[in-house]
Amino acid sequence: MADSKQMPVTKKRPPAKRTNLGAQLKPFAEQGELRLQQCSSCQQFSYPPREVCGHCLSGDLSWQVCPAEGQVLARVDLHNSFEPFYAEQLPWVLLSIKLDAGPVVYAHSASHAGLENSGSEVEALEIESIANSGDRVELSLQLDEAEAPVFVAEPLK
Amino acid sequence: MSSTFQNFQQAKSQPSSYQGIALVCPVSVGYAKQSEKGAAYFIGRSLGEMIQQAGIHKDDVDGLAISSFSLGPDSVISLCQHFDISPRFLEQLPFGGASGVIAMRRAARAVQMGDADIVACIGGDTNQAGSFADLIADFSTFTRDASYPYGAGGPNAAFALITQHYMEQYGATREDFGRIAIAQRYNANHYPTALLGHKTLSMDDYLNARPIAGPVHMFDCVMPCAGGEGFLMMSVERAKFLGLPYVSILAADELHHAHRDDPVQYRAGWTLYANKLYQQANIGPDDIDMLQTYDDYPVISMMQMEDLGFCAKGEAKQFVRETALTFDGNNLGYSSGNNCLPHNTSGGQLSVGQAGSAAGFLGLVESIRQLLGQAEKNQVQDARHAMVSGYGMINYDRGLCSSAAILASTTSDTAGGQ
Ligand SMILES: [Zn+2]
Repeated sequence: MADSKQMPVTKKRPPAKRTNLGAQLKPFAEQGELRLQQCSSCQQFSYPPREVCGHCLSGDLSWQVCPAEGQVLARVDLHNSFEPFYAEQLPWVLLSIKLDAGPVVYAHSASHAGLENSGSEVEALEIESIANSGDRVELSLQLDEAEAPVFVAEPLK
Repeated sequence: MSSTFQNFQQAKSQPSSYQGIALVCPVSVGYAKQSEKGAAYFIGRSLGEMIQQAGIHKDDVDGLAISSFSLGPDSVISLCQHFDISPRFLEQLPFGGASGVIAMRRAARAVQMGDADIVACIGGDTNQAGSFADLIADFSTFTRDASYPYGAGGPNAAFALITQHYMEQYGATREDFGRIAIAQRYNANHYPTALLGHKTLSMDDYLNARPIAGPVHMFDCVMPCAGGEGFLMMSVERAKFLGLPYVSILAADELHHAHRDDPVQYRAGWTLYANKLYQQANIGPDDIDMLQTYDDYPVISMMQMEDLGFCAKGEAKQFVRETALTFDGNNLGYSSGNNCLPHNTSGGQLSVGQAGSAAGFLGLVESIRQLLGQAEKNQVQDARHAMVSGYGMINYDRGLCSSAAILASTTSDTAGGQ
């Protein structure tokens, strides 16, 4: 009993640290809504989270639902990480994605994201289910094992 | 681009001449894999060695241009009390791999305009246990939110994505990157300060190295270390008065976050001013006797070879297959043809080590040493012109800074400082 109670405490977590702005994604991740900062003046989406619009410098940014489709720019498998959570699960897939809405995001691959909802199935997944450069993907915003917001990409069929 | 932007471009002024400026007393100090000393040690000892070389007193130095990642909570002003000096010109340049050339540009203007007579330009950093991990865990607000949480800690992952994309786009292979790393190791074998200079590197070693991220393997990555790099800047008149041999600046420029609409970085700001550098220097790429690129990863050196006009975009793979990159023209069996361009002649960061911000001064200090004929076993013969470039600051998915300079020995006929 004591052991199972201690498990969550000692278990390695991904880095949970975010800026104040980055942390604002958490409630949307809980709801499974993909939202990014959108400018009320020029309507452009910006990412990573920022204080003013990266296009027109307006300060009027708010979290709005963002079209989820994009294209993989590059995929690499990480064989090294300073973070114990990742170091124990190498290789780890990292994707960079150009969203149709504009921004470039780094994302986990849905088939190797180590997310709580993917549970123990991670090992069994097939290589083809991992997106590669040029592939069209759908992005979602989820909570990772540190209850922190992260992007996860899944290939579009 | 809109026509207003083009008009603005046409109206843009150009850097004026660096005539009358002398670069003297290059030093590389205290290299160690790890150190319990603080950054101020490496900066202070660099300053100490320079003034000893120059035969001047510390109070003769009335300007400091400093770069350091590990100096905090201190800054350049703290160093004044630490070193007990009273400068009238201070600069701190938090531009990582681009900081050397940028420090040089700032200091040159200060000396030309009378804001300082002698400026010490120094990059210095320590490397204590865990300090590199701490630096990358909180490098910028963008990395904290958008890259570090994904396991993409530090620059390895960002550069793996850039390298993967570059390889897919242009057909460069790992062997091509290996040619750069191996030639640099050969150079380091002839430069005692290089921390990896006692080890040889073969193509087999390179190709069979431990994978780090995607196509990036161990010998594509720099080894973080401690050390200091620096030089003194003064007027040619003063250098002559002090009897100091000097190097001249023929041209220098910088441009940051250029090509910002490129989804993945495959070029940087150099493309937008390389031609102007050659025009101002009144020479071309064929006249460059050595190239010192910022080699945090070989792919970035390839981008610099392309963007600085040594070959066309995407052709660096062919360039490194046909060009000996060693200080003495030895092709090591890895390149064909008779072309030779000494590249990162001290071994670069890949073989010397990356002493934080000092790495942004490495190629510049090495160029000054070479052009003064003060390199030792790795001296490039008859070196008259050096191209030095800087690159740095992976704020999220790309390096933001670019800088470059053409330097000349003062025995060469095109030297700018009379
Ligand atoms: Zn806007």
